[in-house]
Amino acid sequence: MSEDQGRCVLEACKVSKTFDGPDGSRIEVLRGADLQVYSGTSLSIRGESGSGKSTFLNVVSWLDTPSAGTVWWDGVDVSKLSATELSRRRAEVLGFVFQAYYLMPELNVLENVLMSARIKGSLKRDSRSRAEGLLEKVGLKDRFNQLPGKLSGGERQRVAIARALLNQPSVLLADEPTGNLDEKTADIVMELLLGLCSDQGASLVLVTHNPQYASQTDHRAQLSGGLFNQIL
Amino acid sequence: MPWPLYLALKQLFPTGRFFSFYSGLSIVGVTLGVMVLLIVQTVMNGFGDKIRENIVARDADIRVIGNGILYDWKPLLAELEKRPEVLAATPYAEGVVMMKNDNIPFMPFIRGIDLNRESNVFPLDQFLDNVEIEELSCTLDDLDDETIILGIDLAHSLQSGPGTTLEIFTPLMLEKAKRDEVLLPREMELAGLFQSGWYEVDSNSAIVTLRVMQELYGLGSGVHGIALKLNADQNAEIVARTLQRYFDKSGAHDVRVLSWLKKNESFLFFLKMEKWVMFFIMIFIILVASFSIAVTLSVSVLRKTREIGLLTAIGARQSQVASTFCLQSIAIGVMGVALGICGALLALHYRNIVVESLLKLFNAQNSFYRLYGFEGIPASYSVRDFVLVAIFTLILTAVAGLLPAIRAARLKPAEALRSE
Repeated sequence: MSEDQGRCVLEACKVSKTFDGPDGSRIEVLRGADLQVYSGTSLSIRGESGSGKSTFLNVVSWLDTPSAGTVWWDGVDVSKLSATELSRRRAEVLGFVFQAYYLMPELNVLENVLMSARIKGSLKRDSRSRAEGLLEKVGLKDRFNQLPGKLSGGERQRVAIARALLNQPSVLLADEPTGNLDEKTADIVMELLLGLCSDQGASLVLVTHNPQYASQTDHRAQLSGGLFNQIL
Repeated sequence: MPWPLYLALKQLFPTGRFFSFYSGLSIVGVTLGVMVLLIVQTVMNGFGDKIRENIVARDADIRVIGNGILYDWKPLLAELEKRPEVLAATPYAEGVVMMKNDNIPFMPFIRGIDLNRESNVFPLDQFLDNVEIEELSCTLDDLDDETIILGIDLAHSLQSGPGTTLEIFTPLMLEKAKRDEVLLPREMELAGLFQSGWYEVDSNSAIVTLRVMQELYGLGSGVHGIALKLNADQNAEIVARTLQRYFDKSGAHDVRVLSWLKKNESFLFFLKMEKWVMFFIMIFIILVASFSIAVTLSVSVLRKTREIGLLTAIGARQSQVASTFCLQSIAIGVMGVALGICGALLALHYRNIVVESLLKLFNAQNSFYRLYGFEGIPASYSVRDFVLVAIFTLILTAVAGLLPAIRAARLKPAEALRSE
């Protein structure tokens, strides 16, 4: 990837992550992985199960701290941020879509989407109309008041996408968003994800096993042996 | 509204449902605890107040008691009657005697009264009027040096009725016996009965004229003390202290001045202690309820581990995650306290209906009310108690939420999201 594609919104530099194994041994999942994500681009990360794809997402989002290396969000060294500043910046810069959706069962669809604005502290009058607009775009116009329990897997993932995009993050991190969906629904979700990120100008980092979905992104990275061996 | 509070309330009252089942159970636990605590405290206050009222009704406001027999009591009586705080005063002599009817003995408390003054200090006329057995009702005019008036329950114990003659044995007989003299028991005819409504009094008291009591106890012209009734605006304790200082200073009379509060100090202290002991015992209900909140919220933290991870991922701070659970606990406490207060007020309002139904069921109606001399279950509402219980419960429930809140805050977001 080159800088002519825009500013670097997310950068990982020589990131390592080591875990303690059950037998006391050290398991080195990431061994100095480097990656840059530029504004408005999409990037897919592929790799075998256990290769450290999800761990990499956790580390670059600082949900887990790296054993070594540096992470920058919009040019800011994350390790230098205080806990409060880290939470605020995370809400501003990053959006998340997980394989298991993680919707709040007590809240209806609209309330789930609005939750990200509440936490960011940006809940205003137009937040509701923006959330409704996003839900319309993901095809859930008539399901605002439904509880997550009444939705199908595909619908839940679409709610999660709307929630992730409400705060207009610079980067959307999607960890196998189609992993729990059937092929047809997965295609719809991927199309929405790519389309909405493009519309909003958000960068997308997509962790996936599916080569077809990976091929739809601007860039493709292969994680193997704790390093990105190939970035196209 | 801050989002931790919003989410806390949403978890208690989820969209589309009235309330969460587990939170509802916790609220019921706190409600019951608060209800029981407030009902017990209010009824105990009522008992205390009623007992105090009864003490005041059957006793003088102040007793001026001689340190020994008061022989020169008439000037003292005149002096006391002149004081502005004093409404009325009456001399008395009292003590324990043995009373016998046929072969039934009893050791009641007997009181010698001044027939002209007694009713000004004690509501004796009212006690005499309370007796509904026509042949045993009497007035003070029926009392003379040959007759005696018994408490209604004492008369019952002695199996005495109209025309009964009782034999009275006094401690003076023992004194005479030491000197090889014989003093025969005094025979007295039953003039009638009185009923104060206070079992302790009605089962253990008898009234005779002052002269008879002076003879029974060998007092000569002396008395044991002077009972005072104060004007309504007077505080018995303050007046008693003033009088004591006055008598100590003047040195004219060797007396002790006791207010009804001082005289019944240990009994009233016992009542107060009983109330606090009950409070202490009942606290454990709130503790159990708080523990159930801690358990419910801990399970909730466990169930919502991945959601907690998500909250962190979308920008929540650890302190905000913790406060979500703390606020849930506080909200449970607030609702439990509010419902508990409403429930307690309702239960107290209908207390007599509930208790009467229970007493009817167990056929214990008469004995219960006779024992205490109350017409129903007394209650005295104390704002202080209500506020104390509310604050105490809110503190406990807030503390109960701390442990699960700390657990939630300590969850590492990546691990929380990975959890199964």
